[in-house]
Amino acid sequence: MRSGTAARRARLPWSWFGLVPFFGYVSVFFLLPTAVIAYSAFRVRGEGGASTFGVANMSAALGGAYLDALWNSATMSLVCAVIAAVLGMVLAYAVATSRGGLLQKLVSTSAAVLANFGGLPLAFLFVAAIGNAGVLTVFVQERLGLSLRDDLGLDLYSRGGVQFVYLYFLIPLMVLVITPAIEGLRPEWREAAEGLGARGWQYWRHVAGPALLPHFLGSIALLFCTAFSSYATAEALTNGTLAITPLRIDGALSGNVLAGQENLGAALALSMIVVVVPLTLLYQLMQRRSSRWLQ
Amino acid sequence: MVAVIGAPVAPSTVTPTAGAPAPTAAPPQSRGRVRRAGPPVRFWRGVVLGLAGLYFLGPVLVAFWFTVDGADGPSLAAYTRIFTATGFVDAMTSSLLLGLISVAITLALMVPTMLLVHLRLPRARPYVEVFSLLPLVIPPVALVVGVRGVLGWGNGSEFVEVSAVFTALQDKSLPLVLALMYVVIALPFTYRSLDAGLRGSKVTVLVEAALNLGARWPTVLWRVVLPALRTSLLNAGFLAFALVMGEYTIAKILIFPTFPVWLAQSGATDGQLQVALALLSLAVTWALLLIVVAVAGRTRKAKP
Amino acid sequence: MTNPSVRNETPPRATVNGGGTAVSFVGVRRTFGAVNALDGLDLDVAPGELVALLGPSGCGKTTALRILAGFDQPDSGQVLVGGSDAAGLPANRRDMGMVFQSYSLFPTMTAQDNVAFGLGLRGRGGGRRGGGRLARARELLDLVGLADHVAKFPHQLSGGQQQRVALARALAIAPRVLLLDEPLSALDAKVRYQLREEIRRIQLDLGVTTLLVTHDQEEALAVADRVAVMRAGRLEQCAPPSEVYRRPATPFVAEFVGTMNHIPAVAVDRGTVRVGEQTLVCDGAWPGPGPVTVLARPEAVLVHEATEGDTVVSAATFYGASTRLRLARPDGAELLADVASHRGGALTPGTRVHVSLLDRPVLLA
Repeated sequence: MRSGTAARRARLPWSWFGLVPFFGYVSVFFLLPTAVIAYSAFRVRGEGGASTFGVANMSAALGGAYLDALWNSATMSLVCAVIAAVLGMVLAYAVATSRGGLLQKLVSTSAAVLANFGGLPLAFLFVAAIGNAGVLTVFVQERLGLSLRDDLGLDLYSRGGVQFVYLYFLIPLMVLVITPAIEGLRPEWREAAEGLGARGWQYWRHVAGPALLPHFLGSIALLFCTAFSSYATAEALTNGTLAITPLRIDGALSGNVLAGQENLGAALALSMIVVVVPLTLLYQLMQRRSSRWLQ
Repeated sequence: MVAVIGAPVAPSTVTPTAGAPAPTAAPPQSRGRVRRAGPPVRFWRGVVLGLAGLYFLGPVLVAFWFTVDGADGPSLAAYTRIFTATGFVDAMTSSLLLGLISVAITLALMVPTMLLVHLRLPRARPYVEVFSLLPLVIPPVALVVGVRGVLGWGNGSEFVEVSAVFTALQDKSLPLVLALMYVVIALPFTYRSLDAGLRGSKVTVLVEAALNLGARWPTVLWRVVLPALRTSLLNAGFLAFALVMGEYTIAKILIFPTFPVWLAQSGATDGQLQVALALLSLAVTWALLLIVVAVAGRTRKAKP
Repeated sequence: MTNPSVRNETPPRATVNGGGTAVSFVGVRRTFGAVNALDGLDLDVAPGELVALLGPSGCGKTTALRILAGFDQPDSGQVLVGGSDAAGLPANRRDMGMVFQSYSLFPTMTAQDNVAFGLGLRGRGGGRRGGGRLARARELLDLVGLADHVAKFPHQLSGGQQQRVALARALAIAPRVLLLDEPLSALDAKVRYQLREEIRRIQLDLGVTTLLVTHDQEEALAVADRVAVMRAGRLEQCAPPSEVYRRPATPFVAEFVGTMNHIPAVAVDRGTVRVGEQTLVCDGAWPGPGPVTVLARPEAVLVHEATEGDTVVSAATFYGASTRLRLARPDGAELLADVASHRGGALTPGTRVHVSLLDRPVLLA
């Protein structure tokens, strides 16, 4: 026994070396690039071509058209996140309380596909449906003599169109993240509440609602971050012209702008990170909190 | 030798209810559903599910119609000309290779790390968890800025060896730098999948039982640990692979012609083909996921 | 006193609260697919009485409770509460406090808010936000011994404490019937014993009509006024605990409640049997003369050390106050006997003994 403890004590420092590859990898391929963003964001090219520290990039990123883009990104993402959270919650509840195990399996797998890998393919699906030469566009034009864009206000390549497509991967994402919470609502709670005289709405108002609320709010934060960081859909639909921050970063990095824009891109990236980090932490916090209630 | 009977091993999905000795006389129907609330609830559920089905399947069907709607009636031509499309095979090969490389790096890096943490260094768990989940807080579109900075520095290095390495990483036909980054982006998913697997299958107890019976470490790892983790390894591998096959942001901004980048550009020359491939990529990913779920379900059932 | 039902024996406390029945199941049936969860259940519960529904899992006891609570509907038959048909009355208007097996406390509310929940819905105790409501909740928590835990959340309470809060919450609405659905089965043995005594004390204090569902026969015998043993959706026997234990109505009850020896015997005369050399008066229906089987509890098997005895002690298990002996009969049959432990010391395996039965074994029809 004694020799075992001694051996373990002696081995302890060595086994920590086993973690070197992991921490090394994350440092090189994640922490280093992140540090470079923070560093570059505050590097300004001086008159003689020498770089110095300065806030010029940051003030550029937080002013003018770039600020508008950030604002656009934020409002678009907020609207999408709230709508998707509400609709996703309703859908998740309907699926979770339905009988079919097969239905639940189909919904959870297709939700996983759309939420994680849907961004780009969905854009093309909607181009085919309601794009300039889309099936519905042509159909409405030929049969009804109406233009989807001009008469019905449905423009896929606009901000509204992009938001519309965002919902197609945000709602599934909501279904994915809220389903465990809904399944965590114990049937006993409803029955106990009913037995004590509660009506349906009273159960939701006093018992299920408060129990789900942290998870729901956290999910909105997560959905917001996902929409906020999303690049593929908007890029594919608008060819990079929509005024949102991810596309502005792309623009700043692409060669067709002035030298030194590289650091502006870093400043834009930094501004995104500053928005995303607290919200992701909020999500984790809320999830941890409600998992104490809903297991 | 003293035989140690370990705690009973529960299948990963069963959530024990605080050691209840015997189930209540539960009717074969789930207790959560109340028959009385039948018609209205079932009606609204039907409405919601119906609308959702229409909402999600509608665009897919319309898009499918778009791909088969030819000048002389429906045809599957868009699907048959995929392999002859310019650049498709190169882009697909590149993406497939990147996917396999990413999965290999992911598993080679994370499986030993997670085993070490669970079996030997539980104290290191919080650190590994935080590091693994960190990539969630940096959007890929932001991370790529930093990556470009590092690449730019390496490309311009005065040391020939360094710039040679960086050139190799950015080879257009097989941009290894992407695989390296994708491992990082997949890290949160990998971590969660492996962590859930390790906890669910109670690997620590299994290992102690095996060691107690006299097994050596290689045997323990090969015969006990890896089989117990099969499902979560499959899951982690699938997630990493699917992520690589669909990742657009980083590849597009670093201008590497992977499959998604090629797909985005293909619309300019052949809209039908683009939509057909978009549909296929969703369908294939979904089918793969269904297989993973089915395999996971079977191993779960096989356990007593 | 009259028998309210042919099947049921007279409830001992029927007259305490003025007679009548608080709850009646009349021919209640409920099927789930091909399974008959309840196959014509008839049961009357008198006011103030505690009836335990006892049976193996799947016997329908929980279904009966859920139908009474209004969470489930019978396919046919009637449930009468206070003499009137409860059909169509939704669960939230039945005034029945229910305690579930576990995890039924509302997780976002403190113990006090959980208890006050039902009061708030009814506007009892002085308004929705009234202090009277909370004071009443504190009183009830005090009653279940949790005066110091009013402000704690369920996840901060132990399993036993959670069940106490659940009990207080169910009692808060002054229920017409208290329904206990395996309230103790998720708890540790020690907490279980403690809490069941307390449940019984509070139930007697308040005189609240109570239905307890359990699969633990010891629990049922310990706390109930009457034990209703169920099997496959039907009532096998409903009688006071001592009656169920001493005079099981059916072989199933005999097997399910406690331990029974099956002993071959010969029926010699109406009400008497011959077991070995003993002739004993017995209970049970008279099948006519011939070979029969009688049932005897292990404590009704008397063991005497005797070097010329025909029976051998094959094993002895120590249970504290008593010791259970496994005895091998000359015909190969096995017999279980409980002896006081101070005697058990001499009765080691291998000892030859002589056995006899106490009077009144039960004749197995």
